[in-house]
Amino acid sequence: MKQSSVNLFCISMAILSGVGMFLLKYHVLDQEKELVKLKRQIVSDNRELHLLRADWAFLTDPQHLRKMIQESDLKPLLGKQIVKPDEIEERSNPLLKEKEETDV
Amino acid sequence: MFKKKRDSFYFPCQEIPLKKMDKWRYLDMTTRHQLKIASGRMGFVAFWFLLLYVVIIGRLFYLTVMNYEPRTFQSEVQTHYALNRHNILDRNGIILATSLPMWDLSVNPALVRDRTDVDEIAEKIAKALGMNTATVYEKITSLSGFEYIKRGIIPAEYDAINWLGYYFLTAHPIEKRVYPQGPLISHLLGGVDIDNIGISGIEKAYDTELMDKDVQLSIDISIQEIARSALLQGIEKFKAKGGLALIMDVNNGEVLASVSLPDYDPNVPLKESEKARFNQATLGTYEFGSVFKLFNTALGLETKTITVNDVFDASKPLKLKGAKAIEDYRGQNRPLTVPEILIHSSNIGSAQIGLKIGWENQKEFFGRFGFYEKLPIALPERAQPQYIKKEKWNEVESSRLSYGYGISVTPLHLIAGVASLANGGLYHTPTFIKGGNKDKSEMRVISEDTSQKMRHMMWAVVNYELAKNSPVAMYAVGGKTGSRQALEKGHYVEGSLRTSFVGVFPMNDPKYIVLVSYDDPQKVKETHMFNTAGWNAKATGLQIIGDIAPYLGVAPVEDWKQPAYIERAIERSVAAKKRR
Repeated sequence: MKQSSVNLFCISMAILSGVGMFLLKYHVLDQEKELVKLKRQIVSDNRELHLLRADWAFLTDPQHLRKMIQESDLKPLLGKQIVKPDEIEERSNPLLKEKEETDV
Repeated sequence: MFKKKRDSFYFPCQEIPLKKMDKWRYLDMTTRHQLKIASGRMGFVAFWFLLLYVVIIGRLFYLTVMNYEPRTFQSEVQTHYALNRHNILDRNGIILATSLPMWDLSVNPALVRDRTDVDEIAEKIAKALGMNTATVYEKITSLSGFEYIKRGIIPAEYDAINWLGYYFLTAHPIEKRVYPQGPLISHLLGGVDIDNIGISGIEKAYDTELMDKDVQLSIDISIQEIARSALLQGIEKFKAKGGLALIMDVNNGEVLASVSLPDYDPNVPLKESEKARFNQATLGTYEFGSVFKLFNTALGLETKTITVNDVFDASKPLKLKGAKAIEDYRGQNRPLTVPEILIHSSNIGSAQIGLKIGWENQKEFFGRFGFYEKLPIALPERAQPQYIKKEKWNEVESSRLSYGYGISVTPLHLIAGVASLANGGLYHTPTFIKGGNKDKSEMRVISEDTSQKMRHMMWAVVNYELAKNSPVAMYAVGGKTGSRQALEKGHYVEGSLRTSFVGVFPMNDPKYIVLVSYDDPQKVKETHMFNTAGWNAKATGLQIIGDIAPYLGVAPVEDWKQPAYIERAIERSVAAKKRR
């Protein structure tokens, strides 16, 4: 009884392993196909990105941007517009001011 | 107590166990014989099956263990889009040159020319490609067996041709080099031939590297545009034939902008003249005139032949045996201190310093800045400086060299030299590659002390008479101008000038150097009918500095104390001006 149970278990395991291996193999093949598909999609997307980057470089050509800036009446930053943090005037907090008035 | 013995049954109704020896006793002879035959046959078949299994197992063992080859997975494909020729980028990663997938469209005329609908075919193809119908007709009815209809067709044209479905047309996939920034940086990038092989500029210099990876330049395209735009304005305003602008980091030699005008669109390079395709920044050699007074003064201080407090008599022209008298342009006609010689750009004063130094010292000193050799840069467009043969150097030549006559160098030579005078005395070979000088050692050409004195004097040159509300007053700019008769085919052209300005900022801690030079600027109303460098090249140079300083994050210089010899030189100059 004991020996036949062991045999039965071993045979079942062998069959299960075989079936498992079979299913696993075909699952891996399917996954691989999916992976190839995705990688090709990535290559295609990268190609698109490359074209878009080139397009972006055309669109952001500084000469073109300068024309747009002039049309919009914008001006470049001047050195005198840059100040140190301690040169900025301290502005009172309107919320605090309101609170002070309420307290009074 | 009977204990039933369990055993396997051989035959039906064998529930009653028999002694093993008695198994065959109850069978008749015929049955026993048949069983023996069956047993023998079974053994025979089992043997062959066993053998077959052994062979199969052996073969499997051979294939899987002895002859194991790792499986090549289909999924091991690359995920990046591989270009045959990679990009050229600016220092911030902006594309300056790239390759785009396109097609060359060809036809086999032998399959077309005898058809009755050739006219219709030519019209349809011409419409799809935006070409002239007659040109297409000529190509598709040619007598050759192969003809390109159009090279480098874009995806929209390719789709339109595909829709026509003509079997005699073939689209060959290619990569076409494109330059999105147009003429902005044409000279430096250079170009490629029809087979995408570099033929000039960076494209040629880094031809092999571009096959494997992107090449990142030290150029900042925004600074390049600021410089080009200012130079274009200047050329128009001063009616100059052309001009150049160079901007470099004085502490590592990386060139941030290199403009040479006139220029061309590298997407259609053959349309432009040879002059437009000439890169003045690296291929042109020029006499920079008074800018060389900086080197003369630095050499005097370095050799301790002069001190900053020395006074030279510039009250009358300097006469040397066998040469024309040396005069000053708008001379001060008075004795000048060394800083004053630079401030007023005195030829007489500089010549006297040069004579005191001696030509042997000059020869050696100019060599430190590489003024006798081509610059060791990767670009194919490099020029050999020109100078009077060293064995012919004498008193006269030495005095001329002291104010920049008799030696022509490229603009790149000049800014590398001036940068080392200002940056503490370290020479960096200019590079167009980001981080190109990272592993290179710097070379000391003058002492830190001489450099410090040069910085103060260069500051005085620019800031003497500079309006306090000037947008660049806060950046402590220092520099020097130079105007020299233009050379054309080895002869000086009367009335034609090459004017230059080289400026370094901020002078208390030098970071960047700017060179602006005009070819033959005219006397115009805006410059009160003057055409020397102070009226044109300097104005453009300061305009560029004012525009790029905030972009480069250069903080305004609040208080940079000047030494007594500078204060004195300015006081003397102001007093002399009042007297006049």
